[in-house]
Amino acid sequence: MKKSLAKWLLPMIVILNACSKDDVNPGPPVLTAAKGLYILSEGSSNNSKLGYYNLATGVLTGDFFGQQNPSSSGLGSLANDMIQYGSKLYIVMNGSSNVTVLNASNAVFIKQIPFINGSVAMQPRYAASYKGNVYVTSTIDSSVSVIDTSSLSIIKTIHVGRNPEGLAIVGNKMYVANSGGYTFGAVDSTVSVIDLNTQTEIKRIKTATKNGQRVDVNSMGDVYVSGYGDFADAPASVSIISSITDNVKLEMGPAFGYSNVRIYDDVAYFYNTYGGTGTCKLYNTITNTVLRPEFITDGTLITNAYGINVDEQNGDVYILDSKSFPSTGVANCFDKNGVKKFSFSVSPGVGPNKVLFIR
Amino acid sequence: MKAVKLHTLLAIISSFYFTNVKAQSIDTLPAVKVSAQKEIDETKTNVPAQQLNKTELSKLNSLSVADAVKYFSGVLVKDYGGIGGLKTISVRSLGANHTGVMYDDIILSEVQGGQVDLGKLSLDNIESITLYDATPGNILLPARSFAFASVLVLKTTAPKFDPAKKATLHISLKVGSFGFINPSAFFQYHFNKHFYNTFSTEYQGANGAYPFKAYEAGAGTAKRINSDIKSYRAEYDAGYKINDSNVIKFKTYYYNSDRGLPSSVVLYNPISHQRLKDENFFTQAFWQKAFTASKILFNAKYNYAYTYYLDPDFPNIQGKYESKFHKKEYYFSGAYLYNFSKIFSASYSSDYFISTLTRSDDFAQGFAIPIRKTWLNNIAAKAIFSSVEFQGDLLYTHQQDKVKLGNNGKDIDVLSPTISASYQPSKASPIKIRAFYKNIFRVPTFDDLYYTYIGNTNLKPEYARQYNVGITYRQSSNDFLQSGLFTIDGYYNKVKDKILAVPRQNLFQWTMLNIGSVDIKGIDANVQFNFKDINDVHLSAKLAYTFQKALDVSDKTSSSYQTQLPYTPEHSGSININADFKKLSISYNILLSSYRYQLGDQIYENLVKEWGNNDISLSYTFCSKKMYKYKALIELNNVFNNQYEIIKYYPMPRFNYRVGISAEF
Repeated sequence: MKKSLAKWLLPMIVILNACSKDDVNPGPPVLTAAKGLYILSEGSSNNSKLGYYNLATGVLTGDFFGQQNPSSSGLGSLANDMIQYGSKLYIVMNGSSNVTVLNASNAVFIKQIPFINGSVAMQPRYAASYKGNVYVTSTIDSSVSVIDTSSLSIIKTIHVGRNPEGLAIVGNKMYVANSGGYTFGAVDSTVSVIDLNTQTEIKRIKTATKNGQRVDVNSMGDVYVSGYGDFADAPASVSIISSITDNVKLEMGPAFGYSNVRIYDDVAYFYNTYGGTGTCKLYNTITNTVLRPEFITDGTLITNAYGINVDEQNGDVYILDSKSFPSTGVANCFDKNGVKKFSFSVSPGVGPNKVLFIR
Repeated sequence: MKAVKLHTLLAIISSFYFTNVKAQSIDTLPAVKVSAQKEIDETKTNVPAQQLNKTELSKLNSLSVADAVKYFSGVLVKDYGGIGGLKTISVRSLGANHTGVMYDDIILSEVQGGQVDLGKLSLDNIESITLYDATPGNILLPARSFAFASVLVLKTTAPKFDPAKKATLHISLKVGSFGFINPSAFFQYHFNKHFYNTFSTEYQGANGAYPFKAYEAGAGTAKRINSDIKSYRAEYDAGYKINDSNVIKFKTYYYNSDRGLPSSVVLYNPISHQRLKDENFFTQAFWQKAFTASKILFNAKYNYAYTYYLDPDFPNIQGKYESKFHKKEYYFSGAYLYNFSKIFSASYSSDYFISTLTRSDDFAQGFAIPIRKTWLNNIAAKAIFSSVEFQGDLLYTHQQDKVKLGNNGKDIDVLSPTISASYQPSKASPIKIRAFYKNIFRVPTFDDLYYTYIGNTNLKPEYARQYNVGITYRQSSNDFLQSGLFTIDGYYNKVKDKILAVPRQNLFQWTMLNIGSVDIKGIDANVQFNFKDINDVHLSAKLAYTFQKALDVSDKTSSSYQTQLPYTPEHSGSININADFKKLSISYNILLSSYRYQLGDQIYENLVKEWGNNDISLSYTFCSKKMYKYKALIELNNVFNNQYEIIKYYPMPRFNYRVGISAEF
């Protein structure tokens, strides 16, 4: 009797679970104006912060996570990335070695997914979402973990190249920058291509960009990979991979010595965290031309551009300044012409690295 | 009668106590008046000096030099917790690199990181610890003794000759919480009144898995992991005393340890696997001879140190990161003192030393392999008038680095002056006023200059300028308060071109720059009381207080401009109360610190709370026959079970204990 009950119940559970998956295809975004900003600051040790900035009132709640989760001891150590998928926020905690899942609307804690494999802390780095799953790179065990967003647990681990960092998705393929950044003198320069239907690595593309860090894509399926270089002979650089041929389409060369790239509305924002000249270069990824050698036009000085995000609804560009780490960082909002609109300290946030727009 | 009783008691408590007094004649340290309990008199030097002798050290619940120096004023010990945790000293907020540590006549070499881990220096065979600001009071010293902003002088047990008892054996065993075990042995043999040999050895081991209140809400109690340590020490001394004014000494020291390097507590991630092994060997020779009006002093030393660091989780191709560093130093020193008159004496000392650093692991490729040649020349003079005393020295430093790979660090040629003076209205006057000025620097270390990717060969020296004015007051009487000693010093220090690590391309890549500047104003105060015996109970007390305003004035645009240096409390202090009753001795030791911030930004997130630590020590001496002595010891540490941190996210042990027994034959 019990057995047959289970037989009937099991499909039911599966169906129910499937329904709760955040797998709704977002479709072409119809954006409403942002009400506020989530600002992630990595901190120096155990002091990662999720702040909330109310755009209407101009008031920052520096430790919004702490306010919403008063019984928690905090996010933990070295928040490196966060994405919103469906109704949830996934915060990638590098030092604390987990992905912390929050309710996106109010930052209330839902679950912590440990990234600890036996006695090894995997130290996750970046996340991207696709069809009900969140994919997270882990630098220590050189893998991409697949989180099932209904059970909120790791269901698969895909092996990639050494010390993967940034990742981006085009169609049903994912591109992962293998940095190899932990092997001094022999950094990696490949990008792993993962078929998201089979969740397996299908190719490793060799590029001229060493120690790849960030990956982003434009509407034509061009994959931009930026890296630090090898800290010796090879400087920071950017490579463009065609997702159609899965070959390098263009090595951007010495004029694009940037370790970071973000693409919004087919415009690439190239920047360096620490060092380099200028703050941010604007580049049209469709016409392959430089739009503006320096995005900032009003002379605002940024000490260390630690993250750049664009509000695609109104084109406002947020440049996060980590100042003299580990002191408190500052968020700056510019209009699309590079003129500063406002800025605010993200205190107690240290090393702010990402903005998400809450609409 | 009282004095005799006190002596007897002290002799019983500390088996090596009288050595102290007898050792004076061969001492390189100032031969100041020897009082019953003190090797130096804190009120007699021009510069502030604080001392703990063997008896006091045995009552301080301290295992290492680091534990003991916490009781000095003006001192900040960065203690990462546990027996194996790194413990470095910062005197008057100048940073660990500005304090020289002298171990039996010669400054310990630390060319790689510049910071001596005082946790590695056991108290087992230490006779006295003295901290001098500026310079030790004596002027017949190796030139290197003048090259630091402050000098911590450690002296191991000196020989005591007793014709009736040529051999002395002292063995002890301590065990305690967290798997602590510490057997030690000391053997001294006098062939005759001229020649002695001493051998001292010790093992310390602990699993170090001490419990602490978990930082994660609702997680209860966690245990510190990867905090184990095993260390072994052996020391051999030989001395030949031709006569009181002609002494030759040899010393050989060996130490090794194998320990876990527990990381800071990382929320939600308990993994910690890093290891450290190290080895230190040195051998040194000392010769001092006095002539009618002059004295000569020669020292030579060979030092070898090895450190092995392993991170078995490092995600590179090799699947681990390791470093094997070998440090060597060849050191020679000569000094000459001439007494022109009873009033005026002058000295010249010259030190030459060669320091090398090599690396022998799989990651050694590209390592600079530096060789450093240092030549120090110092002239010093002392003038003692009836009520005024002057002392000054001028140090000339010449340093040259040569590397096998890459660029050499800059040559250094610097003159550094120190002057000090004191004024005592009359010999009988209990009051003395003292002052000193010193402008010294610390050289960039091999790590600062040549550490792969991080090092910067353009670094200049980091300067520390010190000004100090103080008053001492000593009163003795036959009243209830037999003796009272008060010292108070106010100081202003300025650090410029401070060498700091700053991020270069990302937070993974740092570099060293001379960008820091610090303004330090402070007050050190000390009080000591000795009370008259009441019904055979002898009471004494010591208090130390420190006030410090150490402001970061590096960068006007930074949010940490004019904020207190990280981990620097404004107020800190210590209290020791001792009661001796016949064969029983009880001590109560308190350390106190006000709140601090872990970073420049003074926000709640960076706050490290105020703390207090209370220790109790009990010892009982069984004295069966004249030739045998047994002592039992109980140390109760952190008796109120306080959970506190000196460094944020490095919890200190809560209540723990040690029990010990020792025997002397």
